[in-house]
Amino acid sequence: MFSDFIELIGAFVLVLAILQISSDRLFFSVKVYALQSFFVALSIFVIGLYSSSNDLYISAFLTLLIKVIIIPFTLFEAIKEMKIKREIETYINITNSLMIISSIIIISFILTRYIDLGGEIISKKIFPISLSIIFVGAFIMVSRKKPITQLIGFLTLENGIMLAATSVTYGMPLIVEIGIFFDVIVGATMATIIIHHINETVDDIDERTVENFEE
Amino acid sequence: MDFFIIFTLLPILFFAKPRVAFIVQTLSSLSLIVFSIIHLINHDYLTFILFNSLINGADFPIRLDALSLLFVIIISTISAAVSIYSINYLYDEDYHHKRLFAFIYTTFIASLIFVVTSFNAISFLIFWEIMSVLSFFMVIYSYKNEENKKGGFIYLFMTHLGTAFITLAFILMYKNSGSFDFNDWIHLSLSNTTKFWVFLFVLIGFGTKAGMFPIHVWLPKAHPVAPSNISALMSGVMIKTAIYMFVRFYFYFLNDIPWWYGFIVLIIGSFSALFGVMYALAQHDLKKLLAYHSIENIGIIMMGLGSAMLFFYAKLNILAAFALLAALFHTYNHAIFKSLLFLGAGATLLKTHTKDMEKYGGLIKLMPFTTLFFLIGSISISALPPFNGFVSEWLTYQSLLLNNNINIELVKIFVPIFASMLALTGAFAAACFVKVIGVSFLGKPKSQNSKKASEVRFYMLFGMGILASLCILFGLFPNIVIKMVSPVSMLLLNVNIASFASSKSLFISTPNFSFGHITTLGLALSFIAVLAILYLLVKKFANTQTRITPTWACGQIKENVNAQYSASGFSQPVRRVFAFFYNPKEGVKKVEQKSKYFFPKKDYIATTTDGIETLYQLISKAIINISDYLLKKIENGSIHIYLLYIFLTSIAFLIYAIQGDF
Amino acid sequence: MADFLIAILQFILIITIAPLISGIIHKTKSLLRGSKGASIFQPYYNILKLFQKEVVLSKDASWISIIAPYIVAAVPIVLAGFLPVFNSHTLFSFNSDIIALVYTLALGTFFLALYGFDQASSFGGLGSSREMMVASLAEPALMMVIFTFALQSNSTNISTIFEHMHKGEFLQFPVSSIFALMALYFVIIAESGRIPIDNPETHLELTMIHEAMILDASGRSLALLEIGSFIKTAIFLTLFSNIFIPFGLYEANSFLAIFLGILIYIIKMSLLAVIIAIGEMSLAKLRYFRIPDAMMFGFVLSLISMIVYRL
Repeated sequence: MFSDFIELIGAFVLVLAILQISSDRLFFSVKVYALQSFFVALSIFVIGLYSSSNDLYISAFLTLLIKVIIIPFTLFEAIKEMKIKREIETYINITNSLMIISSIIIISFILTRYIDLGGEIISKKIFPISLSIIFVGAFIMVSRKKPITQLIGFLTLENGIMLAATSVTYGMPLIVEIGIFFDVIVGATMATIIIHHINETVDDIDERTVENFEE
Repeated sequence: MDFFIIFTLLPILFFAKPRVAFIVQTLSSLSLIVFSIIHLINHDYLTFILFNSLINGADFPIRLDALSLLFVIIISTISAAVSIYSINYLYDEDYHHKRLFAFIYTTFIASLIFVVTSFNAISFLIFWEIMSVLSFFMVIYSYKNEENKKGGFIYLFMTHLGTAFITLAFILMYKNSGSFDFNDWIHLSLSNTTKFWVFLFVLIGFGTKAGMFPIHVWLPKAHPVAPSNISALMSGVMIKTAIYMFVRFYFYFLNDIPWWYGFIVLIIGSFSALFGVMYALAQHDLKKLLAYHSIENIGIIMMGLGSAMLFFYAKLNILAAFALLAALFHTYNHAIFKSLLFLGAGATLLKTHTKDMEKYGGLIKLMPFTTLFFLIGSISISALPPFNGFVSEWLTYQSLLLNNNINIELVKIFVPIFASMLALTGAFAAACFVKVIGVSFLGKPKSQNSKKASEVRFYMLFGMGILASLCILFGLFPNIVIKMVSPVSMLLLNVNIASFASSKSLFISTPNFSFGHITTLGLALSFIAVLAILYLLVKKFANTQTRITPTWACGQIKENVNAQYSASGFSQPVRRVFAFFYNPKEGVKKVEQKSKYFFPKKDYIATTTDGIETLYQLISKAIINISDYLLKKIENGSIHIYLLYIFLTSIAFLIYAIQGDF
Repeated sequence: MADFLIAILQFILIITIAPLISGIIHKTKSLLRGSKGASIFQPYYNILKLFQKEVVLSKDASWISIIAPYIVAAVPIVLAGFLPVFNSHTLFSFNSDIIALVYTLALGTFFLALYGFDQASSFGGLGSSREMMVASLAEPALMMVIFTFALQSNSTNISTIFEHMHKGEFLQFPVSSIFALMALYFVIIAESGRIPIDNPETHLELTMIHEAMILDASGRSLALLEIGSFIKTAIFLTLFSNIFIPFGLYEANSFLAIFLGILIYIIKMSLLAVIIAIGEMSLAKLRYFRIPDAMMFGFVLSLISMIVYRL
């Protein structure tokens, strides 16, 4: 019963990751991310109930606070301030991305069959899902042009890792998790600040211009 | 025995009088059908020697077993209808050298029959070559045409490439069995490596003939340029001889095949199907479109074949027989409706003198019967109930679903994906034929030629009519074909599939009746009943007046026939969505600025390129470059070097010869 | 005999309730917009009105234009006889195969698209082209969902699938169903031409799909075509509701059971209609070339459903 519920939440997280791929608006993309993080928080909370570990409650609360509220809010502000085009530009069009993603998901589901995760049902069911989410996040980072969408890809990837970590090992030590949260929040803030500053000097923000800066 | 030879060879004698030859061909084909059905039902399988050759072990034995007889029936059905059609067609289209035409035509059919009945590798290859070369002659029949020459050349090259692989496979079989006789090859136990090579060579060799993806390039070039009745025979039956040999090899000659043989066939099948239909959708040359549909249907047949091989591996013989039934049923069906469509295309081509669909339009009023037959063929090929295409596609779906019984993870995951590819294929096929019928037969004529079109003569209609009624007959009573296939499943898998797939009369079902069953006759009857009730209700209660007016053209007074939707416009969305696949080039070709206030006259072009063809071109370019390089290096014109080559070669042979002694 | 009567009752129920769904959707949308809206029975009046009018036919039209409306209407009516509503005895139970259902629906679409071409108008062909494309792209997802459920219930017979679904309660649903549900929703939206795929309320060249094909239809032809599309939507919703809301398929033959079955069915359908209406209100219509993305999304969902079920 528990494992079914966790699997269901994991499934929703995966669906939202795929929806992330098929979204073509920045605001929508951020909203999807927020919703996805909410489901991740929920799954952490439920696993906390299941294994009755207090660390997981704190972890769930932090996820809720940082990923559902703070990061989306920052991103919204950044998008508004930067006045960049609100369409997502991709290297690979959405239909093809979805085709690639479906094969990635199949592969990750097949691969995880051959990884021994111990006897836990939850981990067996949720691990392939979180692995697919990680791959989807990586794919978003690869295929999107704008840095801000790449950031969203990174955050999606991080959600996948979070899901995998909590489901497979019932959470890492609290201090590690807080460290990760701190990393994420710093990373996100840094990224938005950097993008913001670049935006003040250049109009068109995409990865190619960033590449030019390096030269 | 005598009957068989007489009926097969008799029409050739009459080639001097083409009309008589076609009539005799029709009659003898019909007799062959009767002959084969009688032998099939009685399980009376003849074996005899056609004639003894001087070389030992290379006689010309003929064996009429269940599989051969089934294919004789398929060939004869099509040749009977096509021959009737040809009585008028040859004279109306006015081909040169009519006697030559009749001679090649009748010999071609005879060679087809001998190909599927020969029971010796050597004699098989001889008939195979005769068949290939004769069809090559038909492709280049209008040899003054550049397109024909090009298509013919590619065909000749590809078919011999295929024959080379076939020969390799035969040599491997000979090495392991010590005989060219097919009797000695039955369930031959081979080592795994040899088995793999035989599998691969057979797949490539016969796959080339079948037009399997990705070695299909000749098919859309050669089939459309041949005379239409020959296109019908080529697409309808000639490519089926490859299917015949697939079945022979994979179910009869090879033994204990690994699971992934079937899986590979399944993959290739599903890709062929999708690939073929997508290119067909982008075509607006009617005959080329039909040729691409042949690739699609070969794909569907191979999907059935692949799942049969999977079941064969898993020793689930009943299910294997069921999947084989799907493949063979679709083989027969495709032969029928594809010939019908090619004949219909021939009729429109005859009257409008163009293969370009954009120049047809409005033929439904000028050629009502041709349109009706073409419509029936289209519904069949789009696998819409209650016609025959639906039955075999339903069987294919069911055999894919039943693949779930095989305990291999990869199969379980991928087979549903193949099934949805098949679903996409079916839907695209329907879209494609909406395009064909909508653009070329409905609406208003789009060119002077199509305005002047008129209905074709009686025998042409009769030929098409036979095939169209067969589409309906086999759709409503699929049990007829199941009965014909049953002896084949008995021979290959020792299962009487008729007792499983049509255990209740008028129903077709999966071996387990409750898993899935349909009755197309019931569907058709309920459909007609509903239609009748609807019609009566409307007639009784509704306003039945009809006012005829010109079509609303947004206020324009002058009728513009080009305002109708065109074939390239129809497929534009698909071209755009799958742009990575088609590599489309669209644009304005010629701009003629007459006055600056009016729109300039533009020629819009939209072309698509076959990705595989590009690949072939790249390969051929690379080969030419390498050869050029080698030519410069090796053949540099110095006579000393050439002498050195001769010297080295003789030494090499000497060493080889001595080695053999030890 | 009682079975036969029940079958007839179910058959008539689907046909009669079909226009009501459209009416409820319209009414809900009006209410959400803050206007009063037409009665939920308006589609019935529309059809009656259309039957009273004469047919205006193009001079270029052929017999396709005359028979196509009948076929387009007859196909869903026949299929209505395949579907169990509150009892597994159906009118055409001998044939109620789900693959046959999908392909028979395609027959209707085929003739509808031909109808679009037959009047030699440019809009018709445009609509046909778009409709065939959308219908084609919806097909793989639909087939994948069907495969999932056929494998779960070990049959392609619709009655057997429904019975299997009704035996297990909600809680015994595999997680994969949630994906299948979403995928099937996408397919239904596409097949019945609702927002965000198609907007049945406008006649704008840039966006219309279904309406473009039947733009030249009038009188009884239009009425028949409308009936066809109403019943088609009803069939899909019945399929959806009986698979995913497994209440109300009763085996008993008592009057009470039948009455309850009908009531539950009507409630389920109205609920789905309201959900569709809310969906329509909260979404903007997709650009035509975004539809493949949406369909692909649906397909990926169905694929995940299959994989999650399998592994």
